[in-house]
Amino acid sequence: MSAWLQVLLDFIWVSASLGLVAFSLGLILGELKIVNIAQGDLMMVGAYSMYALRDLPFLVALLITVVFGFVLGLVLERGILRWVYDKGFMTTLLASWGVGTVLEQGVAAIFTVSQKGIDPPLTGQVTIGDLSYPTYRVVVALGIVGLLIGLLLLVYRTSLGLRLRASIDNVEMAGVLGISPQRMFAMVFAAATALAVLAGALIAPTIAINPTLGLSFLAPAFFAVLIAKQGSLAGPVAGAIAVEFVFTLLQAWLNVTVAESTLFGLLALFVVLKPQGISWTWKTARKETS
Amino acid sequence: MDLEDSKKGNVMTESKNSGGNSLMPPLTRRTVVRGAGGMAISLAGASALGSLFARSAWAADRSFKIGFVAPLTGPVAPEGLSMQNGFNLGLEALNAAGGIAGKKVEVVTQDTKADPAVVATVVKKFIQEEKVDMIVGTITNDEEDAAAKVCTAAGVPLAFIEAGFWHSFCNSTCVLFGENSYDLCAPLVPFMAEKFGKKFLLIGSDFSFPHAYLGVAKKYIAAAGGTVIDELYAPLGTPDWSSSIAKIKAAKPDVIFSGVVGGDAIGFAKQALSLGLLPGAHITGVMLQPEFYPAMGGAIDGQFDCVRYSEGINNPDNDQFKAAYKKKYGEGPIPLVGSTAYYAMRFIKAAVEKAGSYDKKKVFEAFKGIEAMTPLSDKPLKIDPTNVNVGYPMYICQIQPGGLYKIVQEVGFVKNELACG
Repeated sequence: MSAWLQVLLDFIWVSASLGLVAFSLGLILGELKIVNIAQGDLMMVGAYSMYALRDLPFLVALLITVVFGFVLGLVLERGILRWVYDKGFMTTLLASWGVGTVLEQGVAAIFTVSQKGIDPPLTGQVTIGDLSYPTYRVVVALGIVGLLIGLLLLVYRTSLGLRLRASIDNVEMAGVLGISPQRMFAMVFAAATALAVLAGALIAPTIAINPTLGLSFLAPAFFAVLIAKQGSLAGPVAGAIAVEFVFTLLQAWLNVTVAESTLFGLLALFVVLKPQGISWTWKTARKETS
Repeated sequence: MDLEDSKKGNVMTESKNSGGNSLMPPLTRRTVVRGAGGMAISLAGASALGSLFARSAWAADRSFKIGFVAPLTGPVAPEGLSMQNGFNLGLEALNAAGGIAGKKVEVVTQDTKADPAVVATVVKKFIQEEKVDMIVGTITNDEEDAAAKVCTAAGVPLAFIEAGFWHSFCNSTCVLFGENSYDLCAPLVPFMAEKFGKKFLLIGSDFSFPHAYLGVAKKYIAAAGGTVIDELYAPLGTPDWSSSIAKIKAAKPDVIFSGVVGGDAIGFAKQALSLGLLPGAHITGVMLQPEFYPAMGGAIDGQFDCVRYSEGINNPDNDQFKAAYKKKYGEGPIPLVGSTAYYAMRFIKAAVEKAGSYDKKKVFEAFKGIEAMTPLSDKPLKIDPTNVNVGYPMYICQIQPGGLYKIVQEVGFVKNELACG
């Protein structure tokens, strides 16, 4: 009984953290039509920011980290990405890859490649029946769920969200109607960067921090976005839950290595059978270049 | 200083040290004062080095040249950098005491990123263009195999520093300085079985070394009358260990025998602590090496492990090594691979001087059966002439808060199955 309860709680925890990353990735893909390879590395930056600020109170460090992430996003978008939007799908892909590599190497140069760890601010355990589970994970998972609900309400229930969705659907038409695409692009990228950095900062106390930690989150996050309906912002979150649900089930029966390869095999199969996910990015890419 | 230089792949010589070209330079107060900027050599330690040096019977007409290859970036960079720290410290001490055959040792260094293809290229370049007399380094087994192939073909002696061999490198020019998987498992399995119980659960990173290491452990588990209730593997770079931890909690083993290494050792330990598996469970194995301790946040305090080096070993040589290492690289437990790289230089010196020439074949043959003093023991350690592996007296240690591996049992030398048929 308690074993299954723990599996359930683990599932909620991993879904919440992946959901946040997938949401930020889907936001960039939807609005900027960019496959941002650097998203995982932005998470890594969040984790290192928390490590660098580990002597401050956790919430203060978290706030500084998120603000830093927002500014970093603005700098990256204004400084690099906006120059390559019209150069086509491949160029933006390579540009974001380059950004990710620079972030990885930059962090390695500053902090060295050796593993770092930070302590969670809450060390207590929540007891449910005969199972105790770390309070930190419970609080963070609930916090992320709340944040995602808030963000989705913002997107679907406010005029700001309406303008964002209009811009995602048809950026030229939205521009004609007075929604500046440039400002929208910059704000969306900065917000998405801040979210990725936040995700990295929140999981930092539970993992070993190293410059390549973002890689292991990138592939599942992409699949979460791919299996979602095109342009939908709730979709990647649902995708993340689906990915983690299958992964959790597989891991319950199989070794992690086998579970992981089976998961990616299944996801690839899904994308082949339900190709809307890929075809729309491809079409968009063609439209952008023509 | 050496660290930075060597990172860039520059040729690194110790030309700064004055008066080093004469045979057996007396270690004066001036030397000590001069060395204070980099490392401190105590007079007691220096005289030990001096006596080692006194055996030199010939003066070479050029410097002995070593090619140092190590993964200084990439997934096993923590181990690679620790090895480089120890190597540089050993080199400084060796050159401060006069080098090999009266000449300071010259070193070229290059990063391999733990990529076997890069290892092969770098080693080839070092042998053909840099004309090195010997290669030292590599961490993973894939790197070792790649380097062994190139060096053996060229007849160049090759020193492996990292631990974990489970087979011998027969008909090769390899010298094995690390402790092997038999050293690591043979004393530990019966100790844990007797202390905590006979139900073992094995967990490891999913690549060749942990599989082989846990394979050796299984032999001793069977011999101790124990059972393996489950065997879990996860790929290197696994961020989330919840599923494995849930399985372990459900299985309730008496002992978790872990071959999880690299950054994953830290992630696994921290999550095991926060998910309530630790500190209650008994965990042991190479996952508990001092390399990983500082980032684990006390998760493995109180656990037992089998090691060949502990900072608790009590002799002047070790005191001097500890002081120099911490002065140069900061506090925290000294990585095992760092200590091995440090004293490996002494074996190299002894072998080359016994060979009486830089002839590669003679130098390799001279390693067989050679002895050298190390910080590990008051008695010299010896390289087994058959499998060319240093024999180690092993210790079972309990990990103290703060990272001291306190010796609780001296095991002595371990019989292994590394043989050449």
